[in-house]
Amino acid sequence: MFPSNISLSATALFLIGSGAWVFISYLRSLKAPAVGGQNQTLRYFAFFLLGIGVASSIWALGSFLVESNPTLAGFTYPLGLLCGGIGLAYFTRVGVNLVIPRYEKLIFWLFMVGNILSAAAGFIDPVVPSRTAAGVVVWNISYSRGINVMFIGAAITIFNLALFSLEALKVKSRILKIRAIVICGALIFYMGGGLAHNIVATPGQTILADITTAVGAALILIAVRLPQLARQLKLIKNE
Amino acid sequence: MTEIKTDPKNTYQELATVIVAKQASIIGEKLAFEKAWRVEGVRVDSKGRVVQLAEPQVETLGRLIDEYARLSGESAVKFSQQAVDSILQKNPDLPLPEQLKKGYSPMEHFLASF
Repeated sequence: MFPSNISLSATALFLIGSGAWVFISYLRSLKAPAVGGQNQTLRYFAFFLLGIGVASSIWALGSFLVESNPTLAGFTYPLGLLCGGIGLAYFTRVGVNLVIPRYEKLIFWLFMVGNILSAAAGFIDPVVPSRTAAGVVVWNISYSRGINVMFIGAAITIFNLALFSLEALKVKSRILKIRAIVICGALIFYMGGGLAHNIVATPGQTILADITTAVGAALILIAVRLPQLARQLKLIKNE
Repeated sequence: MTEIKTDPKNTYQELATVIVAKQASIIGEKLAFEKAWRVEGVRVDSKGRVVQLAEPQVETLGRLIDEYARLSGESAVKFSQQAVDSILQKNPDLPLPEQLKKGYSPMEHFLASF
């Protein structure tokens, strides 16, 4: 298997696994509603993970199609952006819901409309990816488009990180504080690596972006399973 | 309009009534009452007194606080905690929704839920 296929598939599996775990937690909370609610925040977080998980799965699928059908593989780029953007809009909803709930719907729909419009532009003029001799998928994204996606994505990520970190600072439980820090770290790695794919120019840079993205996804899985992992490693007793 | 009297023995109704009153003093009676009417299982009379809270009352009370929190975030939770303080001092063992417990943080609640 080619390096790009491995890293993209691993990223997708980590994220879908994390999203499924959080979504199951959400479904459980519906059966035995947590006193005081906040279930919607959990649902938004599950949709965020599933959104970026589906995006990574679509890009992984694209990496498998590069030789057999590069045109179809090219369409997986905007389709993945669309799904990832929907996921990211839900993450924004998590932060906004916790900090400024009054503006939750407005900001969410602004992000959704912006995301749909930018993805639509990607379908009109799709990229044609190719594979290098080393087995790395190069998406051949034009410089201007890459820069646009990179700046918009970075701005949204910084906004999300600011909101999430602001609330995370107030967390008192040690294990939950670590969980919040790991989620922030995961987002930096995943979004950093993911967005870098839009401006990389060489196979080496692409591999680095692939690895960074996969590390971010692995960190998300660790954050989601952190209490269980900590208990197994006997790092916490009964927190 | 027939006015229904608050059951004085029901502490949860008392808690809900003071929360609605506190919100009314901050966001105005009209909006505070409208918000409370929207919550399933909560009945409020025209003066803002909570006359019925569906069982389980702890959860219904939690939903009422959530409804206000949707409008003004964590500050709604803090004002609710302040409003119920004197009643809780007389009833220290009363089971409470998460938001009314000491040291409640929405982020902590979220991070602990999965």
